Amino acid sequence: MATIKHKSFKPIQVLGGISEYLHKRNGLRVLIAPDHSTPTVTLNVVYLVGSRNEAVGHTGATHLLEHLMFKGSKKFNKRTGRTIDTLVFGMGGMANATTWFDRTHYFELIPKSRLPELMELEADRMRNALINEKDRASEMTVVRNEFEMGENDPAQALDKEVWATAFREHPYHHPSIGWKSDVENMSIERLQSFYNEFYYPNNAYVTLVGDVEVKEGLDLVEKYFGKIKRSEHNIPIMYTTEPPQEGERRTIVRRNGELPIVTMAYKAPPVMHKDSYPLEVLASVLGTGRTSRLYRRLVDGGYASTISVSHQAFRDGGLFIISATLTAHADIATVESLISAETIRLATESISDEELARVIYQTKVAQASLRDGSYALTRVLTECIASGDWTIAVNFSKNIEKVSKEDVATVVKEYIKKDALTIGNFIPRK
Amino acid sequence: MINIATRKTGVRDLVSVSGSIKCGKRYWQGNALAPEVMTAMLLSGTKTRDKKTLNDTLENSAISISFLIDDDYLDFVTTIPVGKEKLFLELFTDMLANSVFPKDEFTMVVERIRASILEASTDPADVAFRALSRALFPKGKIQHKLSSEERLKLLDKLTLHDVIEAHRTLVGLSEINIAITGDVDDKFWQKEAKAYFSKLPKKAHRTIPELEALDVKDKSSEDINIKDKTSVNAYWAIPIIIDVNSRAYLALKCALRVLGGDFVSRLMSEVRAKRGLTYHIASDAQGIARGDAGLFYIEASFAPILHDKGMKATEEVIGNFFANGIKQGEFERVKNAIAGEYEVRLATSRGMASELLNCLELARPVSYIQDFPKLIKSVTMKDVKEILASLKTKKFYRVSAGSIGR
Repeated sequence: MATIKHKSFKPIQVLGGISEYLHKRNGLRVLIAPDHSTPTVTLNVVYLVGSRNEAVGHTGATHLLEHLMFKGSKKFNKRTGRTIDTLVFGMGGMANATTWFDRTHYFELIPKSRLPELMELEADRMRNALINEKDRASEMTVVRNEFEMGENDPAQALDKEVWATAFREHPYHHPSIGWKSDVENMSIERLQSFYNEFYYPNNAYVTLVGDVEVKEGLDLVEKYFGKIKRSEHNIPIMYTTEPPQEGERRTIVRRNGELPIVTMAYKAPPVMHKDSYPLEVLASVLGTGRTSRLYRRLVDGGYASTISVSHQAFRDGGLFIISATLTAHADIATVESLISAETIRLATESISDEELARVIYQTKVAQASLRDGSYALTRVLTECIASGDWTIAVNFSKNIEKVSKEDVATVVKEYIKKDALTIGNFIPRK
Repeated sequence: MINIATRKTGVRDLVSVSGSIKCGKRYWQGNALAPEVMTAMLLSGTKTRDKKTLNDTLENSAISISFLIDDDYLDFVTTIPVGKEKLFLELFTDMLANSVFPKDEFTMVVERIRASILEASTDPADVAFRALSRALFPKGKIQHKLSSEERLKLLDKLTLHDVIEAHRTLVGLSEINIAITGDVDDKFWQKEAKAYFSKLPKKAHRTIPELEALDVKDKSSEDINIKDKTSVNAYWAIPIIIDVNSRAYLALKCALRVLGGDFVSRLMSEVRAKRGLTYHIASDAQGIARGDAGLFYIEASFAPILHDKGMKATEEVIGNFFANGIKQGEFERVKNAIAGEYEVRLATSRGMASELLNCLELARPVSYIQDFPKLIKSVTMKDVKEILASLKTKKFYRVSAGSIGR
């Protein structure tokens, strides 16, 4: 598949059946992946703004603003009789919006016939959202209850503390939902100003995956988004960097509960770093499936009821997180030492050929599943856009194939070290 | 009886499998925890493959099977790379027919299940829903969900013999439903799946619907306090019996959608969007598929300080809904929404497999999938009024769990 000529768009590249274009006037980037297997399409607008763009006092602004984006826009409101929530959520299909560290996105998985109407809606709320105090007041308590629901879960409460302890200066310190008192007290002016800083076509991607041709998609994007002007200001740069960690840190959450949780989190490089791929392999070898090393050591060993290992890499860095919920008779110190021993061992003892082959094959199969329905690819594209390079979505499996056993040992030596470790413990208070 | 349905979808090199074996908890009379422990031990090895060999073979082939045993079925879901289908059938039927239950593995699985029960014992949603089921259904019936304390006591009494007996009694060729989608070869599955599954020992599990529900005239609510919880979970419910293949069921779906089925439903618009009292509020029906008395319920989360206001607002909406019914505009909207959502759900192999499996389990022709949008659009306002009239005389029971009033 080659790029096509279009008067309003500059073709950038085609990779893995996905075409990338840049709107010549307003800087909006467009990705289109035709898939005609069903008469549905996923429309997705990704804004390159997330909780990394917030500071103390307005943490959670991106997320609260995401909620307010459903309250109305110039063309879509109660007065015009076409309300956003009715069109997005009330007409069938699957739709939502989510906020994370590096991005906010709004998506609709819909029958193809509804695409023009929803594209008009997304374009209208890009610059014409009605963000007012009355809606902020009622939505603040909704968001606060979302925060409270998360706090009900010991694992989520501990995860938040671990990030806050591991990152002290960089905004990954705070959760994307924000600190409770910021959510409660943030002014409408602050939210409006946040919207006016970041919600512009030159800070966004539109992705279309599904039953749509490239020309058809570009024509629709031009029709609805083409007239929106690029920002007159430069999109604010987030310049805070996290200094190197110089020693082990520990955080403890004591609450009513039944089972202890141990989390061991090591600083990881930005997602675009070449070491991200060996770290992905390491996470799988340690924690994916019943054959993984930590499952066999901790779950089969009777120390943990569940374990998880994830390489959570973002634009500016991340954490390599190992977490275990203990069984009723296990103790925290033993589980911590077992995790340490099993992990650090991989710096000197290579992973096996069978383990590496298994991860490569599982990754290849997972990559194939991205083409199952339009939302699966949309979801992955969104995270790759947020990371800074959407092509990761296409090349991920190939890059995993290039990882050697030696690469895995190297990243263990480089990143799995005490000075870069944050330990979190959930200790049940009976 | 082996029911197989296949459907090609757009994905290449993969098939999605959703299946169910009729051997659920309702067919077991012994220790209620035995079927759950038995299911958790299915990956512990077979007579010819030890645990390591079994799991290495599965995971080296990128086959990950998840199991869940409910009241009716042992459900299984997996994705299989094309070319590995025969291996899956061989391993899976070996696990079902020739499972071994080693003593040390039993001890570990019991500890894992103990951990999951303990975790659930401080989860307000789980605690509230179980309490609701105990208030509305008689002890000993499948709808009556045991408390964490009762489950822990049963777990202490559970023996390896109970688990082996549960496997011997329950698992076999009774009714097996398999839906396969994706890059699927229908001829292969029709021939090979039947050949493999027909080797299982024959079982005859007969389903007798449980119709009895308790009268809750004397007491209409309960609050359960759990320390250190920042959000309260509340449920309101009434028992309901309905044939899921009837027109009345489609009318019920429309009514539930208007009340609390999406972001613009009555409950979401009033309790969340307008009054800001909750993040999550919804209505649904549960436990009705086999003709049993199930639940018509509403669930919500509230900050402890907004609990009373939230309950009051929710009960106002429920009261108004049953007193005045639904409006024509709402009715037309939800019919379109349900049809549109169904179409979208079929757009993935997993979604299509799930819908095909529903057809097999509920003895619907697979053409139901194509017919569903037309069926839902044929529901009339009269149908909805009738179903609401049948429910409006019943009294809701309400349970809240969390740090209420803190």
